[in-house]
Amino acid sequence: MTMLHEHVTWRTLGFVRFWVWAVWLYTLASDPIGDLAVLPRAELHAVGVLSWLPADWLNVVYIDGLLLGGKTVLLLFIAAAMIGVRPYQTIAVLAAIGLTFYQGIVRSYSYVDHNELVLLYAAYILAVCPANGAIGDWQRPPDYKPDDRSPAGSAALLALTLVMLATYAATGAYRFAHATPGIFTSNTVEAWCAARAHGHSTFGFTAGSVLLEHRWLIPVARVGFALTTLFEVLAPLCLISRWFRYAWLVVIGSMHAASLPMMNILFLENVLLFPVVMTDVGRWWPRVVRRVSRIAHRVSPRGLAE
Amino acid sequence: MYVALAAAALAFAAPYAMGTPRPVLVQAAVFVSLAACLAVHRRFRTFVSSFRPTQRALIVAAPLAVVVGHMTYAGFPLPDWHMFSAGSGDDPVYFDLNATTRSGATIRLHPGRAASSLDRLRADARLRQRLKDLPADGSAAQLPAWRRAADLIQALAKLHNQRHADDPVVYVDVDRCTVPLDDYQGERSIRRQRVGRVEVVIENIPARP
Repeated sequence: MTMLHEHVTWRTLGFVRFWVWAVWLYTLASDPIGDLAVLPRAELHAVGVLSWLPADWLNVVYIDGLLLGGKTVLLLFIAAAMIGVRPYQTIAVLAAIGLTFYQGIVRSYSYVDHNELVLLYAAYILAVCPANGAIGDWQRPPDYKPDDRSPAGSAALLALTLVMLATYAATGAYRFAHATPGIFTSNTVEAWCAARAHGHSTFGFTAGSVLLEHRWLIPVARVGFALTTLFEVLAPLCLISRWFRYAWLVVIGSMHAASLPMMNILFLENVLLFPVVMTDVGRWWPRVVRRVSRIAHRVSPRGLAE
Repeated sequence: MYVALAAAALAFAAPYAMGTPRPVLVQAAVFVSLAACLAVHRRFRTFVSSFRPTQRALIVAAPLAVVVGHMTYAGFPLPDWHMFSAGSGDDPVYFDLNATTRSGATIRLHPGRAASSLDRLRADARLRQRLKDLPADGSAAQLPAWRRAADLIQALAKLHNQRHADDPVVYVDVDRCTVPLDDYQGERSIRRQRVGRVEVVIENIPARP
C-alpha cells in the first residue's frame, strides 16, 4: 500500500500551487474590501498582527483608497505566485504575509472565524517549499524532469493534509471533551438550524426549518451530528487508511453539503482544497495531463495529418 | 497496529483514571492517541523518515502549531476550533432588520450583503453582539449600547444605499425574533419584539458597483 501523497511529481506540485493561489485570487478579487472604510471605528477590534499596530495607524489602514490599493498590490503578488514567477519563494512568502494582514483586516470587524484559515496555512506551506523555486534542503535537482518524483512536493502536501486534518480533529476533540453527550441529546442542533434558517444570511437558504416542521428528522440530524464529530476526531487516520479516508470524505463531505441549505454555512475554501489535499492528486493529475495532451495532439493539425 | 491501539487506549484512559476527567486532559489525550496511531504505523513512519530534516520539521511543526494555537493562544491566525460545541437549550433568537425605503417599500436589510466584505455570518455576528443584551420593551434607545448598534446599522444602511441609490433606505426597524422550538408553526409562530428604530442619514455618496 502506498501512502497518500507518496507519488507527487514536480508537475503535480505546480498544479497544487496554481490551484491554491487561484482560490486566493478569486477570494480577494471578489471581496469589496473598501466597504470596511464605511463601518464605525468603534466596532474595530484589531486581531492578530493588526493588534500590534498603534491605534492611529489602524485609522490609516481602513481608508478606502488604501484598502483598494493594498488589495491591488496583493492581487498582483498572488497572481505572480500562482503562475510561479521567480523568485517564487520571496513573492509567495510576501503574498502569504499580505494575506495574513488582509484576513486580519476583515476579522477585526467581525470575529475570528475559520473560513479561509486552512487556505491561509496552505499558502504558507506552498510558499516555503519549492513549488516553483528552490532553497536549501528543498533544492530541486538541476537536471529534474517535470514528471520526476518530488520528495519536496510529497512533504508539502503531507504537511498541508496534516494541517487540514488537525483542524477537524481539534474541532471534534473539543466538542467531544467539553460538550458530549449533552450537545447530541439536547435541542441544540435544531436550534442552530432554526436560527440560521430564519436569521440573516448571505445565501438565503431556509431548509433548516424543515427539522421543526418534520420532527422525525430531528433524531436523524442528531445522529448525523454525532457521527460527524466522530469522524472529525479521527480525521488524522485518513493518512494511514485509504478506506477510512473514503468514508471520511463521504461523511465530512455530506456534512459540508448539508450545512449550506440547513444552516447557511459554506466552507467553500476547505471543500475546494479536498480534491488536492484529500485525494491522491499525485496519481490523478498526471493522468489528466496525459489525457488532455493526447486529445490536444489528436485535434492538432499534426495529429490530424497522422 | 496493536501497539498503536494500546498507546491510544492508555493515553485515553489516563485522564479518567485520575477521577472526573478535565476536558482539557481529554482533549490532550485525543491528540496524543492520534499522534501515537500515526507514529507507530510502520508504513507511515517509513514514509515520513524518507524526507530531509527540514521537510520533516515542517510536517511536524505545521499541524502542531494548529493544535497548540487551538489549546493555548486561541487568536488569529491560530484560533481555537470550538465551533458547534455550545448550546443554551433556549429558543433561538435572531435579529431582523426591516428597512423602509424612500418609496415606502419594506425590505429586509442583510448585514452580510450590505457589507459584502463581511459576508457569510461575519457582519451578522458583530451586529448580534451589539443587540443581544438590549431590552425589547422600547427602552433600548436610552442606552449607550443602542447608540453603538445604531451606528453600525446606519453604516450598513449607507453601504446598501450606495448600491441602491435609486430607492435608498430611510429607516430601519430592529426586531428581536424568537423561534419557538417546541411549538413551531412556520413563520407566523415566530415571536417578534421591536428593539428600536434607526433613522438613516442619506448623503450624496458615490455609488458602488
